[in-house]
Amino acid sequence: MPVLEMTGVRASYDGVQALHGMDLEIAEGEMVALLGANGAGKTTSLRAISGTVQVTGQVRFAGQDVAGWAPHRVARLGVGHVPEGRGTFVDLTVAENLTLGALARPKALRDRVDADLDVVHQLFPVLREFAARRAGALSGGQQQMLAIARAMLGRPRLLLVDEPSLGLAPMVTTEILRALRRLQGEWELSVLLAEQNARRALKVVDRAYVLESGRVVASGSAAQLQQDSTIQDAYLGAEIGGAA
Amino acid sequence: MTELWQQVLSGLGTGFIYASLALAISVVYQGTGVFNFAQGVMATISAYLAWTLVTHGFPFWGALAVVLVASFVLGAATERVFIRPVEGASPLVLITVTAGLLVGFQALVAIIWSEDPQRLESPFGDGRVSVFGAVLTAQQLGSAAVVLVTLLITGAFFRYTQLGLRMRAAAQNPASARLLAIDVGRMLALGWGLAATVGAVAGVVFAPTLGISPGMMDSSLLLALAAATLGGFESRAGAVLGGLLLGVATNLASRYAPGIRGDLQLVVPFAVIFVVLLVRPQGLFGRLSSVRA
Repeated sequence: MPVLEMTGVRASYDGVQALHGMDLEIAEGEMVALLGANGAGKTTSLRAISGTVQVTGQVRFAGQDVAGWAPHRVARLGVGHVPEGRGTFVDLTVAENLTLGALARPKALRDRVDADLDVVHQLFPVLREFAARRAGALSGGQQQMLAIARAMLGRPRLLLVDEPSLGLAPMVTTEILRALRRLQGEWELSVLLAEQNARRALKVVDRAYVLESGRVVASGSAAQLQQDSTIQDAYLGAEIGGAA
Repeated sequence: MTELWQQVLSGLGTGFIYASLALAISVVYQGTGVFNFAQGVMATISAYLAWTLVTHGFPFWGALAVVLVASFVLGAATERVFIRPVEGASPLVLITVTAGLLVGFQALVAIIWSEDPQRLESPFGDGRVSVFGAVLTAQQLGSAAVVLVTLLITGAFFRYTQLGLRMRAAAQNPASARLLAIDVGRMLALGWGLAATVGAVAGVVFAPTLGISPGMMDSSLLLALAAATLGGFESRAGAVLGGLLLGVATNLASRYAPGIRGDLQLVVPFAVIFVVLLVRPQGLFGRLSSVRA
């Protein structure tokens, strides 16, 4: 049974419709990318799942229809969300940001916080080094690492990650995506990664959906999509062809 | 020299009143991101509640304990009823609502308890203590101690408890807090409750000094606002220190500045603040970077 299933999901901001009937499915332990140009509906799709935008249609997570739920209840059910712009608590310390992540985890996993924190620190040593520093004082890449680490420490069943590469140097992005993939495998969670840079995303995910104008126009395994020149030319051309 | 010392100390005595209210204002600001104009009148309600209990035979400290709990409930309920509907609205809307609360609560107080001033006996007795030649009343010393303890407790709460951390997170970045399973609405209500509790400490402990009347906190609120601005809204210790500085500055101005009589002394601290804010817009202990990301 899929951990997440979206059926005919529509969403709009101030009367302008951003999703026109999204259908999407993610299996347990799978890492899936949402690809597409700016404004294709990637961010809105993630927000539709975490409850941060009003939707119609069905969003089934872990067997329950969570459409219309308050965000904190969806989070409690096991959805982590690294939002666009990272959502760092800039005036809190790095350590406090991570603690807030750990506080979001299910009670059954509370006694594993220290061990999990070790894993996260090994993956992103800079977060240990700067633990007492104000999160706002970190660089963009470090804040992205913090945002992912924080969401991970909540031990979600499904993690939504919105454009982690935005504004970051290519090498930093690669490091972050690799770390994400590793932890995803180790902790057996499902990941939905929204990414404009298709080439980069397809290197780490299992499958991908291609969005245009608020609906899915293509989907397939990462390998298929990497080879399918028709889809690349139609929807992902610039991103895949581009050197970045 | 002794006289200067005496003026400084009694200035500190008044300063603790501003400091305690400024502390409540900074708690609600830090816990919810809102500036509450009604903080003073909510403290007045607490003072009246304590007075009512004491006149019905409660001991002072027993009455204070009951009032702290009641004030918490009042604060949280105020958030639920009046602030929740405008949550996320612009700061101007929130200022308007809390200013409306100020007027409304004050009218309610006058209706319930009448406009006649009342007296509450100091729980510290009417002893006097000599400090290096200057004389302080037991009430001044005792109330200062209570405010300092309150400051320490709220500081420890925000810094060391999980709930305190959640509340800071909810105030600073509500959207992100929700994604971390934090019930932001509940945190905001708790923040208002907590601030009302701190304000209740101010209202009740200083009631013997100020006398109890519907407008007892009016000028203190103004100076507490100034104190929080001076210290920096995000800094509780800064707010308290700001209150003390203002108390001393006001007292010294009225004594030593030529031509300053009556309520004109109140202008002096504002002139001080004006100069400070020209140099440090974030206040003495605030941070400029407190941008809501």
